[in-house]
Amino acid sequence: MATDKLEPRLVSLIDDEKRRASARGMAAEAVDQEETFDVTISHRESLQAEEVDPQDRQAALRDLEERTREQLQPIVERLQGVAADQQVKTHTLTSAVTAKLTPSQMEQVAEIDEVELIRVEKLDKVTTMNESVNVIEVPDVWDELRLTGRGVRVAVLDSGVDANHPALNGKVVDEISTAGEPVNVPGDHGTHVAGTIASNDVVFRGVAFQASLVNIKVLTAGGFGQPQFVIDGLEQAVRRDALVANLSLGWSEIFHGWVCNDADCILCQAADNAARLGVTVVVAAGNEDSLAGPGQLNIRHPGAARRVITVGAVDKAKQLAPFSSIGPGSGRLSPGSAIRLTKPDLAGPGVDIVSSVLGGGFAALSGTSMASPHVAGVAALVLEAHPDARPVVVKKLLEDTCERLPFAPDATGYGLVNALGALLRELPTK
Amino acid sequence: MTNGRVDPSVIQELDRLEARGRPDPRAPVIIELVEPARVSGEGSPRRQLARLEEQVHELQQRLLERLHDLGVTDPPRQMVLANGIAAELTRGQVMAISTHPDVRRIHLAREERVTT
Repeated sequence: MATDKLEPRLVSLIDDEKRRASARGMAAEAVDQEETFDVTISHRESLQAEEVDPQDRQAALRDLEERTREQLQPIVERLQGVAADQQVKTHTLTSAVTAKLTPSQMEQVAEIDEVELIRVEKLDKVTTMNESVNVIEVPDVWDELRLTGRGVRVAVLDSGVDANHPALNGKVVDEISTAGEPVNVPGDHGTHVAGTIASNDVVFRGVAFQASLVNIKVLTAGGFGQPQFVIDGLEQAVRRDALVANLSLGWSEIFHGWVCNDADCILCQAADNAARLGVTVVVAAGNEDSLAGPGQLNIRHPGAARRVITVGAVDKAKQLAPFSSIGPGSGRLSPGSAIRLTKPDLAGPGVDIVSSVLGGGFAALSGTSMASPHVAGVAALVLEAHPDARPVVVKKLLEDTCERLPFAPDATGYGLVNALGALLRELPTK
Repeated sequence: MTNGRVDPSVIQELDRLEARGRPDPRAPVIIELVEPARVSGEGSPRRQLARLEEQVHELQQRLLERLHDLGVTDPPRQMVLANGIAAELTRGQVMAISTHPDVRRIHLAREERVTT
């Protein structure tokens, strides 16, 4: 079968089906004739819409639709020839058609010169930013309350932000590296986190898309760091007047052998001090699920710190992410008490989040690292509305207005952060 | 043998480096002091930070002197928001400094992947 016009993952999908068919005692060739796949067939020449003023948009769209239909005619005719009862969907904004075809039919369609590529239409599990912000009711805050994070400085303590990414254009207003690697060496992780907070892309829009970012590079581009890099980074967040700091990182008792008896290790101490100095510190809980062995805890550090907002992860269906670290944290109810404090404090969307990555594109990542910047973004919205709110007040407000979830407090704390709820509620007096 | 103030990961790292054949290797550590860094809560954040820096550096002075006596010549990195000092120490230096009354714990500060 000619496969040069078939997308590689479509070829491997067909091969997988053939292997399954063989395992069931069927001839692999039967897949070529009988098994159908949803595919999109693109024309070798792309069509461009005219650049028009808004009042001429509809006319230009009709014109494009007509030109696309005409261009796609040979492909549609071939489709009707190889699969007469075929339902074909012709696209307008891109010169392509979608249909359900067997591999044998794909081969026949691929024979004509007009076909550039046949790609599989597979349900990929991706939560784009426009979905995840809906889950926590951010668009209502933008549209109804006109809050977008404007004027709020959010420090991103991470592997470095690609300030040249189109979605982050003009966002980074200050930067420094404490990681021993130049600040102009950005990382994918930091760029993704920054996009979730403040991307100004039309589709993948950040939670607080008009907030300003302070790029504090505390990790190498590959995500490696030392505790003192982070402690120094928190100090820089204070010195550079950040109102919010996001830390999608942490030292694990399980993986790094980190020791913290009562949320009082140097990382927790520094994070709590940054909060005392006016920075709302938002930290990822960790991706340890409930792996902890005897004498260990799953919540990372400084996520265990008392004054920070520690964030677990859920998916867009508001189900607990299987990796999200289960509490409690290392903090004790009182000195020497055997009772540990509940962590995480709340949860955010953290499964298959599509946000900005190096090179100007977007990609899906999962982790409490992705949940934390959603909450940092909501904190920025709150601080736009209440610039004098202390971190402890912001934390309490976000906790009080969470959407309750049917999970144990040690899994998702008070529940799922809810931007609209937080912005409609009066500030607590704590 | 340790006195309970040294994280097991520090000893493991020194063992690992020795097993690689390095004579008397040095491990990157953070020495956490007994007295925590305390923010006063008065004045602007910058003023509070300046006061904290002054206070913490004063608290760290005796330990810095002891490190110098132990032969640590590279200037250790002094933290501010947490009362800690970062340095690279040999096993002998780790053991010696861990008995100092100002020391609470000694953590490993090796560069590790920590993204979540």
